[in-house]
Amino acid sequence: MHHERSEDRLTLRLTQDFNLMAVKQIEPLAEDVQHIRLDLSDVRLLDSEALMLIDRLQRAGKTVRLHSPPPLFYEMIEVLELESVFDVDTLVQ
Amino acid sequence: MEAHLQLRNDPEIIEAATDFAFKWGLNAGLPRDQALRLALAVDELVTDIVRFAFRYEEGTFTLRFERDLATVEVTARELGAPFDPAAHRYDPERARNDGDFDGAGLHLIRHLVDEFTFLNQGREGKEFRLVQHIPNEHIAERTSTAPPSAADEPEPDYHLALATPEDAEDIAQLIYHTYGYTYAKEALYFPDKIARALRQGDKFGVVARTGSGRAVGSFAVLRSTDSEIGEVGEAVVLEGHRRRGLMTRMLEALIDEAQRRGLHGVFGEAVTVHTISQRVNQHFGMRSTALLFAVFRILRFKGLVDEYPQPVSVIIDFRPLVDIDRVTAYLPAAYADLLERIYADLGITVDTPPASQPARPPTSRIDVHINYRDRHATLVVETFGDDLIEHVHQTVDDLADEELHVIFVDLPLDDPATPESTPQLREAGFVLAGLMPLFHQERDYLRLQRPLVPLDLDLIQTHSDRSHAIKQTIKEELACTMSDLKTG
Repeated sequence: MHHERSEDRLTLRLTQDFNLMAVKQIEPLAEDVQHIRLDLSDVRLLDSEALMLIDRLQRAGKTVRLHSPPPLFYEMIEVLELESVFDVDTLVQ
Repeated sequence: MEAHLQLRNDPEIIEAATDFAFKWGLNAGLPRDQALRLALAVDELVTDIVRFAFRYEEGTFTLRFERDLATVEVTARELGAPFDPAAHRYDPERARNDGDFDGAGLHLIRHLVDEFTFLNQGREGKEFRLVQHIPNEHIAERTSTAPPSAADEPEPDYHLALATPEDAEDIAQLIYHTYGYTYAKEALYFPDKIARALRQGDKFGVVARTGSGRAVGSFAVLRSTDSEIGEVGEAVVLEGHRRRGLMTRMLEALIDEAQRRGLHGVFGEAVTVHTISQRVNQHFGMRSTALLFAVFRILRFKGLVDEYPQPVSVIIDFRPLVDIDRVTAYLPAAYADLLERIYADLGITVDTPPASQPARPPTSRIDVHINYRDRHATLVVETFGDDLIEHVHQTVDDLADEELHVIFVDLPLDDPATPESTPQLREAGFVLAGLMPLFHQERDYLRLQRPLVPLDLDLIQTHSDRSHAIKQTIKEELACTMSDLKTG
């Protein structure tokens, strides 16, 4: 995982599955920033732990943007009926 | 084929387990997107185990990966804190309003895989099973419906050779042209499945060809996954090439190959819709050892006008390929005479030690095999414990949602606990199925069965004297149970 910080922005590029392990690494990094951009173009899988992290970050008032999430991401949102929480038009760049 | 992983409850192992599941799925023949779905389901399951099963301590759990021609199955087994999936239903409103995602992982798993089963194994822990069906191209999509004619080759010079993956399409066409859509084992209609099984050594076979290279017959042995035996089957000879000794030549070649590969025995599952397959098995030196109810779904059979009105039962016919003169077996009194006769048919004398009551551990170990397609499950007793009957009852309850047609229980005959456990299982509604020689880890098993759907025994046709006797024994045992099912 590669990350860059500038002022209140954090940019992360994940090179592994976006799972519990990744969540444990990302969450402390995101603590004191306002804007988080997650580049998922190399990510094969994203699981419900990842969705929960994004939800927590959004509920904390942070801005989250995803770049190129894996196709199953959209299906998971539909299956879990979370379209109103994860507004993909805004969330996904 | 199967593989086992033993894993720690550490988040670091999640991706390794997921990677393994993805590649296992791909190697089994799942398309990439299906393998990815299986991998994500494994990710969700393993994450739940890591997070919740051993919340305050270190623990380990196992993942078992299995595959056959039609399915990929992953079983997670753990001994962590008690858990009931029904108590963790995902609620979208709760997730949207409160950020409470409890049950989301299980909800996704149910969506991602074709079958999801939870088995509470009591003190032996919990099992979660994920199954993905392998899609393949049906041979009818590749071939014309007209069977090849033998008219141009009145007396061909046949050549027999071991089947290779390149023969897969010819084998599927032989099945299709011989049986239409009525062959019980659906995997035989899918060339990719046949090729994969041959390539991976799950089966081996013989193909007969004419001098011009046309495939006109095939015969195969499907290796068992937990014992050095194999199922003989998939026998076909095209119309116009029959009654020329081809079947016998193919079987002889197959038996030679089975012995060369170290198999201890071969068996056939002969349908009881008619007696043709049973006659063929007897002709080739196999002897009837069991009658298994409802092994295949309701099928239409070639030559029969109407659909056979109930799931199809089979006779197990067995032929040892190694010299076994004597075995030591603890025979339950109710079946001792019949089992001794079955053994005698196989040329085996039974030494029956005096009954004993060895101390049992508190918990039983039972391996559960579920056939989702044909709706039956087999509970293989590996270790007898004090909780055997309770454990069987719990498993039967856990499987209620699977709408099974029958449940089998296999009891090892070399274990002195088998005779005393059998009456308890009979009280629980199980009846005889028969002897399953060398069926698990090269040990002989007594199989009991409990039908869960009404079956008309008059529609079950048997051929050999021994299969008649087995059926009669079962019929007498079932008299009460079947009438209960019909009226219940």
